[in-house]
Amino acid sequence: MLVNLKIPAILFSSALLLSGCGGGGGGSSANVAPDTQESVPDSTPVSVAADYRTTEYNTQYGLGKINADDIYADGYSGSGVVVGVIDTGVDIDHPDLVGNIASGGYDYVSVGGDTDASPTGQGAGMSHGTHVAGIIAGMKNDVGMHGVAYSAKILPLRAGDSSGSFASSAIENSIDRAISQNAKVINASFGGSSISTALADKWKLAHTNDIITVHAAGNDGGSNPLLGAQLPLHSGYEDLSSTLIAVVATNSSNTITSYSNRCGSAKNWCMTAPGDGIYSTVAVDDNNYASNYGTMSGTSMADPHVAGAAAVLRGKWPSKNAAEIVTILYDTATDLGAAGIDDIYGRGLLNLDNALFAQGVLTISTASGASYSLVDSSIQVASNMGNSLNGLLSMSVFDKYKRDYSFDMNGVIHYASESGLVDELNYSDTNYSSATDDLQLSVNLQDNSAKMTTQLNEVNVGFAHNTLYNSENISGFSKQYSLFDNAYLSQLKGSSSIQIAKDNATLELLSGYWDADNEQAIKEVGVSFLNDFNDDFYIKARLSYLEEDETFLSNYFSNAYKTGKAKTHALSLTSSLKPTANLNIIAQYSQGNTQVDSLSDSVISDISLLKSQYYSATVLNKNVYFDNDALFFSLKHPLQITQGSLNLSLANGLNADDSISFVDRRIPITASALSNEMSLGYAANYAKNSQASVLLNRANVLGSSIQLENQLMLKMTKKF
Amino acid sequence: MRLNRSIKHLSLIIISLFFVACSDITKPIDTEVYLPIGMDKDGCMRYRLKPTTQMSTQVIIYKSINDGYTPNKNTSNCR
Repeated sequence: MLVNLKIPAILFSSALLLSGCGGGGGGSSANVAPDTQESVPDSTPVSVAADYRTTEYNTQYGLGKINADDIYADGYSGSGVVVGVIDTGVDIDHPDLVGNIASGGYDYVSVGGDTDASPTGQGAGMSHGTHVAGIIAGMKNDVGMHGVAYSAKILPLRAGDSSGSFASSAIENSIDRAISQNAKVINASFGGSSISTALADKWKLAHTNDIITVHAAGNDGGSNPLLGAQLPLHSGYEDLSSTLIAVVATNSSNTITSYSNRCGSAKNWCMTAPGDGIYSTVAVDDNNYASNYGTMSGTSMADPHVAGAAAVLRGKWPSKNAAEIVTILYDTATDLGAAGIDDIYGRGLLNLDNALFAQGVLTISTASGASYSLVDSSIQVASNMGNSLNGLLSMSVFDKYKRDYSFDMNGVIHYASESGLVDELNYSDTNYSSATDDLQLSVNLQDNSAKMTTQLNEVNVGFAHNTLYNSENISGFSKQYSLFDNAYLSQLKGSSSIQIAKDNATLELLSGYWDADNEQAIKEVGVSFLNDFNDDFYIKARLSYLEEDETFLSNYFSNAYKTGKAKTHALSLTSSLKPTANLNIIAQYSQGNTQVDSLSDSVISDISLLKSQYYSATVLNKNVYFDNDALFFSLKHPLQITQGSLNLSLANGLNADDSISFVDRRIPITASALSNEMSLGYAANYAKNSQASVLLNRANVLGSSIQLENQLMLKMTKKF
Repeated sequence: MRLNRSIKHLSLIIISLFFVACSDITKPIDTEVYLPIGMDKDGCMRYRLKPTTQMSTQVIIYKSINDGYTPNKNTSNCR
């Protein structure tokens, strides 16, 4: 065996690339309507938060301090949520509240009680409830100010008189009323140094009825909140820590006010919000104020910021229970003071913006209950699918609190374009071969391929690594312009094969990988028959059976989108005509059917039978102008899926019981926008070990749309 | 004499029991006290309402110009 391996070559190449001289061929795709069926937004979403920083918004500086604008821009402001305001009454006819007053309020202070919970009698506490109600749900109407949850409804429950004193029994009745009227949040901007067992039990009843209760920490400047906010410290009331929030007051500099009690012993269920100099609604006939608005200070004013925020979140995620919403408020608060939960600010400053955004690792859920990391799941589309997946497809993904967020699936699709002049420029012909009578060895240093053929008892036996799918190389150009013996194997990254041929029949066995990491395996069995009419004309028919482990037709759907085994049966016809010794005309046509198994724990719940085809015609002329030069023209219709569809079971929001809703979407994956590709190339040796090549290429470039791109390449290569 | 004393004692016990038993439905007599809690940065004295037995609003109060109390600093007597 003689093997003449030349001295290892050092490649010198210079190149001039001119490209991008035109486009064309628009892309079409399967358009699928977005499946955004989460809770209905309170208003038509406006794209930017800045649109919500109106005069009303800025007048109540607390809204900016808690970063409320982003969730408004997302379309949520508390719609559908009732907030019980147990206070000194609410001016239910106030022009900035009248539209947000729920029916069912009650006055437990007036003798005999009545359903008009408006305050009566002048006093320092007369407007307290109206002010609190405005902070929670003052209307957004370009007048005065608006509340944190400006689309929520206030359930006015008058339990305090106009001086500001509250009888325990009136509070207890108010809690019962809030429960019966389906309030989701109760604001308690009051407190004292004692609390009766009866009242404590009512707060517990609110807890068991899935209500968030928000308690002012008090204005004693002390180390601990008032007793009502400390209830979870007492035996029998520990569970309330999951739904009861104590609120301390910060000023416009996000610093605790001198008068506010600190979180202290309640720090684990305590947070802070703006409470100093808060502008809000006041009772229209209150002698203390000259207009319908005014400022007040205290933990009474910080409290309704948190109550309003809780209402907004309950409106956005109605399937979440009280404890889950409270956890989100705590975990997304801005840390103030000492790092972590501390004795002054507890969990930190309310941050509604943060509470809106997804927290932790986002996951994709499948109908079978499986869950996958969003970032670890992707779709790598080969050219045979074109841009058929590009569309308006979206699904719900979930954060660590199992909150649903709409996700545009286009973000996970990666397109693999076969054409690339960068690869072409890097290509150098390092193909070496040697032959004796019955042994031929060829080696290509560029792609580490090797092929050996020999003859045993009139049977040709070939062993190949990484070269089988290149039937004919074109001198000076990479495998991209080779004439593939099997179009279905054109995207193999590595393979080993055995070929056994006798007369005009060949059997081949192949094992390889689609990917460079040798993970996406493929096996192939092929039989080909050659009809050699004469030395200048033959027709070859090839039958192939390909089996892919994780891909189908080299499309790779990973993790959440994973697919099972793909089995392809393909027929290829190749004819070759040599009118002259140097001229060769080759035509190819391939067609295949692919059956892809679907997996129960995948978003891709079904794949129909896929039909695909490929055809090309090439004219190759050697020794045209110089010895060993080559001129070729190729017209190729890339391998494309011509028929087939995917069915996706996509998460589509949350049901009322917090389970995930799914919807099926079937998407055709036919690559209808792929255009015919053309190549005109010439390569010649202009000196010893020096080659010049020119390529004019018109190729499909894949992306969200398919562009037909023109490229011109000039390359000079010299080996030393 | 002893009987009269017993009746007197008994009546006092009954009256006491009546007040204890009905404490939940009868508003107790309360006194509203405004406790000063220090001056703000403008030198205005701040107060908070502290009823002796009941709960109260947790809002900062100022003395008003008519010697009453108000949560509105703009109508307080330090303006």
